[in-house]
Amino acid sequence: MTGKIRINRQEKNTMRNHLEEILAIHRSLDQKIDSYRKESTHSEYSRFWNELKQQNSENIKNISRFMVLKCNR
Amino acid sequence: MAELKCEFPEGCMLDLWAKVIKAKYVERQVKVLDTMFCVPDEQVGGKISTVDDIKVKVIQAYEELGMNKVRIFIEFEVILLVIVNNEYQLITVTDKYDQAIELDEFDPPLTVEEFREEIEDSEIVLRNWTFDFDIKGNCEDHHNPCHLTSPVRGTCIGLRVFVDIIDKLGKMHDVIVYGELEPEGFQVK
Repeated sequence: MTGKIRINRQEKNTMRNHLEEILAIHRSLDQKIDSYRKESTHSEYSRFWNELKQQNSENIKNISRFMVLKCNR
Repeated sequence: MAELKCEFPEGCMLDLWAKVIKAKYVERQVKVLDTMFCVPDEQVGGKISTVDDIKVKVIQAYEELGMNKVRIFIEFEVILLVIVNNEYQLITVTDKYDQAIELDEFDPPLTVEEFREEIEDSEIVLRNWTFDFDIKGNCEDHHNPCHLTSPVRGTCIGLRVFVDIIDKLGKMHDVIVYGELEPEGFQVK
């Protein structure tokens, strides 16, 4: 059964804190990838950094979307 | 043919106490909000690039039955799911809409006497919420898209909200329905 169950405030706050923490890691990862991407001169490496940046960007979107919709303050 | 257990009109009387709708007002896609507002950068952490989704939450919908008109009130929140610097954020806009409905706008149109005699209560039904929005630019741009009196760094958003409004006027009545029992073997299982 997939009925809607109301999640209590305490659990929401905990989940929100956890997601904010994960989001911060992804943001810093994004900066790290970006700086390495800029450093790399070989096109194959640049391409790979671009792919990584795009995937991380999708993760950031995914996490922040879930966070604001499901763990609202 | 099987013999009926109960023949019209004797017996088989269904005695109901039910709300009977006397008149109805239906207006499709009423514009309940047409606004422009600035979302400060500091509130959401930057400029809004996309409005990804919009939801509405009705806080309350009620009405006042006047002497010769009905006034409806709708309090609602519009929740915008936006993207800022590649991250999702929520923006909430709260508003209240009110509208007077004249008696001749109901179907069937009511006279003042009918309204006083025949109407006891009413019900508002809201459905099919739709939205129209546009990002007008940065609030601090020289053409000042949000017409701010004091400059704020932010994103100027135009938002319009529409909904179908149905208002049902009614009165509780004794309703008596005569019927016949279905012969055995013909009952819907």
